Amino acid sequence: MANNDIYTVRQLTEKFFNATLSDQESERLSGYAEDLTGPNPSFEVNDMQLLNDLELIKSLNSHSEASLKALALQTPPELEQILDNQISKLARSSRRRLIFKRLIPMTAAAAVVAVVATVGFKATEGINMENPQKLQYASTPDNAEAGKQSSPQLTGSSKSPSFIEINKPVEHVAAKVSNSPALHQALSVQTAQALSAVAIATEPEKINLPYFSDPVIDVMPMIAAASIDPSNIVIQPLSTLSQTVCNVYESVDAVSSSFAGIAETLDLVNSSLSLLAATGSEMQ
Amino acid sequence: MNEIRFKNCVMPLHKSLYAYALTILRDESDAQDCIQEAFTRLWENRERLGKIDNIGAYATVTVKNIALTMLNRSRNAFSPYGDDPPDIPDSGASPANMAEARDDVRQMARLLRELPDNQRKVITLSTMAGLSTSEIKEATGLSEDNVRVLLSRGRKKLRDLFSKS
Repeated sequence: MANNDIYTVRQLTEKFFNATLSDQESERLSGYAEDLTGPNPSFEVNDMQLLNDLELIKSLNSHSEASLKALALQTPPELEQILDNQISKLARSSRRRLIFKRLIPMTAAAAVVAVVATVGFKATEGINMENPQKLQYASTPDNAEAGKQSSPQLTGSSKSPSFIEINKPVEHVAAKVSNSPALHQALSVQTAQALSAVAIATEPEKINLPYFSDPVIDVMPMIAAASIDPSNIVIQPLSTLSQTVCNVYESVDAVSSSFAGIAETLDLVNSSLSLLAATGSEMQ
Repeated sequence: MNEIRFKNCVMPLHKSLYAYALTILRDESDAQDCIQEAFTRLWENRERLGKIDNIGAYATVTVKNIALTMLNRSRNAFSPYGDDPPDIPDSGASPANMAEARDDVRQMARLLRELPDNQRKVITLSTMAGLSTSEIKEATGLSEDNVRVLLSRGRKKLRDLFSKS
C-alpha cells in the first residue's frame, strides 16, 4: 500500500512541475503534501527530493492562504458601507418595480368597476329615487298590467302534424279573418265566417305556454323583497337588468306575434285553395 | 431571499472576496469595482442563492469571472505585493508556530520575486487564485500552451531556489 502511494505521489508531483495536473489531482497532491510533511505522516517518504518537492508545494499553498488572509485585512473600511448602500438601493428599486407590476392590474380592475357603475347610473337616469315602491319595479309591468294580457298559445294543427302554429286566442283570429281585405276579394263573407267556424271546429287541443311576462313577474317579488336602499348603488344595475329582461321578452313577444300572423295567413290560403278545388269539382 | 437575509448571508464574505479579487487584479480600485459588480450580480440572482448550500463558493466564482474579464481588458503586469510581503495575521497558533509560518511566507514571497514577471504572474494566478490553465489563458491573453510552459518553468525554478535556500 505504501509503495503504491509513493508511486502515486511521485506521478502527481511530476505532473505538477509539468503543469499537466487536473483540478482533482491538484487537490489530492495538496492533501499528500500536507500529510507527509506534517508531524504524523501516513507513511514514511525516504526520497529526499520527493520530500523537498512536497515541502515546496505545501509552502506555496500556505503562502497563498496566508496571503489571502493578509489581503483581507487590507480591505478598505468604507467598502462595507458602500456595499450596504448599494444593496439597499437595489432592494428599493426591486420593490418599486414589484409595486408597479401589481398596480397595473389593480388599476385596470378599478377602471372596469368604475365604468360598470357609471353605466348603471346612466341607465337608471330619471328613476324616481324618492318612491321605493316604483323603484322596485323600475318600469317593468306590474302584476295588474301583466294579468290583463292574454297568453299566446301553441296549437298543434291536425292538417299538418309537423306544423305547429302560434296563435292568438281564437276570437282575435276570427276578427282578423273577417277584417282581411284580401280574403274579402277572394271569398265571400259567408266563406270567411265558415272558415272561422272551421277553425273553431277543428281547433285541436291547445298547449298552454306561460305568458312571456311571467319570468318578469316572478322576478319582481324577489326584487321587492330585497332590502332596497335608493342610495345603494347595487339597485341600479339590478333595475337595468330587469328592464333589459323585460325588453327581451317584449321583443320575443313581438316576434311570436309576427309568426302567428304568418301562420294564420298560410292556413287561410290553404283553406281557400281547398274550397276552390271543391267548387271547381262541383262545377264540373 | 429578501434584503435582510441577503445582507446577513453575503455581506460577511466581502473581505475574503475583496482579497481574492485583489489577488487576481492586483489593484485596489479595480478590486473594489469588481466586488461592487459581483454584489450586484449576486443580488440579481438572490432567488437562486436561497437554494444554494455554499454561497461563499458561488460568490467566489462570480468574483473570479468578473475579475478575469477585467484582467483580460487591462492585461497589466504586476508584482505580488510590492517590495514587502504582507503581514501575516495572528491565527491563534502558538507564537513559535506563528513565527515559523511568517518566515515561510516571507521566504516564499522572496523566492517568487526572483522569478521573471510573466512566470510569477501565472504561478500567482494558479496558486493564490486557483485558476485553471484555460482561465489563466483568458486572464493573460496567452495561449494555453504558453501558460503551461510558463507554469512549468516557474515551478521548476522555484524548486531550484527552494532547494538552495
